[in-house]
Amino acid sequence: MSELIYQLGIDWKLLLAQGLNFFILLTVLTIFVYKPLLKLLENRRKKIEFGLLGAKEAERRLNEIEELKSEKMAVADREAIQIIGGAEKSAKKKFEEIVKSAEVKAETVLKDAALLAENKKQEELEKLKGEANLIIKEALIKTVELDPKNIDEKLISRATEMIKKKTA
Amino acid sequence: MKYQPEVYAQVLIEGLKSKNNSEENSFIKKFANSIKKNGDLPKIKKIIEAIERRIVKKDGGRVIEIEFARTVSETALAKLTGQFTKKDIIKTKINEQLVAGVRITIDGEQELDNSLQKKLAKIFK
Repeated sequence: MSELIYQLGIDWKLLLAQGLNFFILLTVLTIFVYKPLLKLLENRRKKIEFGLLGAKEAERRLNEIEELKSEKMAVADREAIQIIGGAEKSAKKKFEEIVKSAEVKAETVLKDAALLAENKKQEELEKLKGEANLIIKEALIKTVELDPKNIDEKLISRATEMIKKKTA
Repeated sequence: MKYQPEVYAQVLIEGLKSKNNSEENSFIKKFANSIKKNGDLPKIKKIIEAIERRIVKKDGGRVIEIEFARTVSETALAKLTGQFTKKDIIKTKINEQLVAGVRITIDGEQELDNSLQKKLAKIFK
């Protein structure tokens, strides 16, 4: 066996040394290259897995948000329609009230104006009547003053008769 | 006016009742002074009228005030004044505002207005 090894050119010592060298190299490589590389790969795999899970979760959440958004939009649409409808009704009612109030006001203003015009007319008529009365009165006084004796005596004699009747 | 003319008249007449002839003058002086002191001198005419009314009333007469628009004939005046008694005091006055006719006031309370002014006022009221 040793001859065969010798014939094959194998040197036990050299082989042992090489084996030791190989073992040392293997140990060094395992410790400093293989294990960190393995750890790095494991970490990367975990990160990718986590990323994929996150993406799935994000997608699920996005879907949920989309659904919620659709629901909310539908509710908001319904509410908006209701509000607009209510506002239209209220505006219509308000408009009718304003128109009615304006009509009443216009009627009152017209009545007041008519009353004012009538009052003014009456005032002018009264004024005219007063002036006419004054003119007639003055004319009568002037006429009496031309010959007051007869009227004076008649009025005095009538007063005398009245006193006579009272004392009788 | 601190006191009404009627109050002054009453005071004077009631005061004079208890006074003899010698005291009358000093009482009247005091009375006049009190009118002055009360600041009622501007109303002396009304006070005198009130006194006059009281005196006439006491004797059973009245104060007759007759206003004419202008001077009237003696006949008309006599006819009118003849309606009152001798106890009455008759005062005549010219008031051109009456235009024509007569206004008679008895004791400052009763009034008989038969003037043209009144008639015109009644027509044109």
